[in-house]
Amino acid sequence: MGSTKTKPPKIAENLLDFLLLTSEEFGALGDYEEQYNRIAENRGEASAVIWYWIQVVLSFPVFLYNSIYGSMIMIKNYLKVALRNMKRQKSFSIINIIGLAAGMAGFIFFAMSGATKLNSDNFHKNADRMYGVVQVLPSETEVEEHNAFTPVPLLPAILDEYPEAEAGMRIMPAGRVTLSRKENSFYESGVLFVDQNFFDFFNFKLINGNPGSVFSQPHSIVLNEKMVIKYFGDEDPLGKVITIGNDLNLTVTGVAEDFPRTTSIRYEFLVPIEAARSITGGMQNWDQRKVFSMVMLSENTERKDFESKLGSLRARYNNEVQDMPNKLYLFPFLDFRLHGGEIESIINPSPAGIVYVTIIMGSLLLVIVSINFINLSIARYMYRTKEIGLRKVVGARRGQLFRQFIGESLLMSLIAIPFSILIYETIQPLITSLLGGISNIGMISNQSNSIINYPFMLKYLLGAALIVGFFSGYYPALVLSKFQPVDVIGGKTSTARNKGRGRKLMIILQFSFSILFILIAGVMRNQAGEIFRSDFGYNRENVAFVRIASEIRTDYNAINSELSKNPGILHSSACGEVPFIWAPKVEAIPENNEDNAISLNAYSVDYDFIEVMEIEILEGRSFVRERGDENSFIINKSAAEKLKWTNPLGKQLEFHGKVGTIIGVADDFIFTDIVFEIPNSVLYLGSDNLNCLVMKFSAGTDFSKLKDSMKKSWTDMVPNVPFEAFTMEEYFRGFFGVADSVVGLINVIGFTAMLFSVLGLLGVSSYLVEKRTKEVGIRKVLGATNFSSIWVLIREFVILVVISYSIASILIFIGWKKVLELGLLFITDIDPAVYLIAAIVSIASAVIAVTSQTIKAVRTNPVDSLRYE
Amino acid sequence: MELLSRKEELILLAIWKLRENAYGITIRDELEDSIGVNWLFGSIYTPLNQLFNKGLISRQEGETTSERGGRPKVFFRLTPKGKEALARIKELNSALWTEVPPITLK
Repeated sequence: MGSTKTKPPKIAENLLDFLLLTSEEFGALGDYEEQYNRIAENRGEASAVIWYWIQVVLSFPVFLYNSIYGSMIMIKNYLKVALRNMKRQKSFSIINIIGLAAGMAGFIFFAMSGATKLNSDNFHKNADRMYGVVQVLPSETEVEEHNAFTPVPLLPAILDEYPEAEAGMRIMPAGRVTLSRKENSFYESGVLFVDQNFFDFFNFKLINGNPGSVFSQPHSIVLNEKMVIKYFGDEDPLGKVITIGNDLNLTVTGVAEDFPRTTSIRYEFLVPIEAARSITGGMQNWDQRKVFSMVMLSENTERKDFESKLGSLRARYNNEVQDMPNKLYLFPFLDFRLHGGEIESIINPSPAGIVYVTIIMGSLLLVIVSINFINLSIARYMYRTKEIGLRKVVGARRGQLFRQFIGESLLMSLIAIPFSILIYETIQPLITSLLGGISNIGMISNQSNSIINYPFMLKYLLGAALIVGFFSGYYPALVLSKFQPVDVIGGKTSTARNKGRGRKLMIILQFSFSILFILIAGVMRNQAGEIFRSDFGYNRENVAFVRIASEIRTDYNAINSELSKNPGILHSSACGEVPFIWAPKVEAIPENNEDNAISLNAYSVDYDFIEVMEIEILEGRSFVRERGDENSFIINKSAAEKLKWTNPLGKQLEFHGKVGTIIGVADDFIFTDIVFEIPNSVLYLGSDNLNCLVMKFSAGTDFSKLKDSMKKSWTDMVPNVPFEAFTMEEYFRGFFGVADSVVGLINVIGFTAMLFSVLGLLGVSSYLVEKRTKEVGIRKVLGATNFSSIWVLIREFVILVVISYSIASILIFIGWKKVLELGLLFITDIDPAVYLIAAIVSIASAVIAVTSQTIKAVRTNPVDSLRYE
Repeated sequence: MELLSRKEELILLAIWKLRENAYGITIRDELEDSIGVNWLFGSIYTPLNQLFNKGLISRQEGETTSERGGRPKVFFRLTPKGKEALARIKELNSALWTEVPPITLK
């Protein structure tokens, strides 16, 4: 037996030794080794090694437990000392705890955003067996088109042909539709047509109604809570009727819970897909791609095997189908949100990169906070060198001291947890409402972001607190436990000079981060303002828009003239969309030059549009009603340049089978958002594609009053159609307002980070200055002025801050150069004022912080400071 | 009377049963073989610590063996106070179980 004996891995043994604490007195390590040898003998050395490592991992939680509560008497003493220290240095402790709490609150915010996306959709019971069917379509370019919009009959065919497909689900977004309940009607974009088994297939919760039978009647509808309040208020919605479009009546059969943030399938209304037949055609056709088809494979089916069989389905597509898919494949449902960006589908992708960036941002905050903690701790612990020395003299081992300090920093970060939740819960509604302004971008979950709804975040938070506590305690503990009692008690705490490098690095790191945040906020604010002020080629002021639903488009002229009668309206027109983020691309063929088609944005407008928007005509004329300009085009200057005609007037263009004569050239205008070059555009009179009324009202008109009176005339004429009106400036602000709130957020983070950096500096400098009081005294005795003594003390810190400032501004400078190289319109060089402000803020705050500490030292009479003890 | 936790109680009993030969490994074997519990390997040390602090057991270092990497075995024994506690646990248990109708398994 003796010869076969082996030893457990050395590292594992050392780790275990470190982790076992008091158990050592009970012979634990020896017991472990004996057991190790037993296992090695019975089951081989490999499994013994594995067993040993598992024991190491398992003893970690016990270690944490013990390092906080451990052996009762010592811990009581540690706790007493820790609390006493906290009390004695109140401001330090408060700064530390609030700093930790703020950092962790920021971490919750970022981690939540990332974690909800990483944990997307796995609340469905069989989510790992669900797949979306994707078609690879032929395409003219090199890149294949992956499309998850499939023909309606595809899924029944799959379920019919392959028994491995256990269940299926089709989802068809309804787009923008009008829903009405009695006299109230609204435009809604959250309507999904789904298969009957929706609530069996998914694990969405119904508050009211039977999951198995809510959709047993084709003309039924399920709303979520938020929509119940919008349409019914306090009434019981069950059994009531909601009308979709003009005349399709649906009975409410259930109420669903508001969708959580963790779902990629978002809905406000659910309607059985059978009901869609009366609204839209092509429900039996194989040549129309309409629905997202999902299949759930049976438990032992491999996706690859199943996919290989799918090819035979292509026979089902008729021969007339233009875009016969080259291939069909399955894409895992759980991967759609993060990795489905290349596939056209109903799921809004959240690219994995962005998710990781948010988590990294959150962790970065933790790093800043940790550094702050380390700086403050070191400064603070220097006051405790005597305690350390005494403990060592009395017989404390280095490991014990180490554990004591780690335990203290863990205690601190654990205390910070409730505060961080408090901070998070206070700012969370604020941030949500700020970001909620982006109503144009998809649907945002109505479920509150409160941490209560996401209990898994508590685990993340606890983990973050333990990690931060451990790592920010680690360095100070390492430094402090190393002290030799003789040096410490003898008063030789000369670590200030030779150990200063680590601390300097920390300060530089911390300041660089905070200056970087401030610079980014400055640049963003600067650029958002720049874009808002820039000339888009038309006058944005005093212009109102009123949406017209497709069902009343035929009455457009009557409505237009009726609304224009309201006082204050100067003139009115119409257009296809609000002229912002509007880019209907067409290929236009110039006269006699079929080979050189150019890409244009073709905007459908009505007469007077050019006058309402105050677009300048450079050559030729505008559209004139009396001259019957139905087949006339007006192009903008950049389009004229692109077409390379010496005189474009009278020339012909063709797009979408429409041939027209150019009657005018307008100055450049931009109806899209931020672009790389001014888009080539053409305006045409498209009476069948007008979705918005545009009205110019006189300056000084109260828009809310105008809106009310317009609404009155509107409801008199078309009572069942929703009325939606807004000014162009409101619309604009809606987009840039988001940028504004993001800027605000970054600013807050930047200044908080700066504040904590300054507080950290305050801590460090107060310690270092105190150590140098005698030096200052000697300097003064030798004739130094107050000012020069202050300078000697703060010089070191000012240099550090200047270095961090240079690092941050160089990073921004290089980064912005890269952005400029992209060539976006309206993006300009960084205003030097941004650099200047950041420089002033950072250097001034550092100088103030350090000076406040030095003044005391400098003011002290050298007689006092040089007196021996 | 101060009650012991179930874990402490079982360990105390195991030490008593093992008499002269109670140390980490044997205690664990005893618990596993005769009582049938399968705790984590490291989980007996915290209760041992508690029992020691309460003065119910004493410890004594024994011979070193090569299986233990040259570390001594640590033997445990019940102190008089520990024996008293064990006796009282027995008393308490039997007192609790008198006049309890028999439990039969179906």
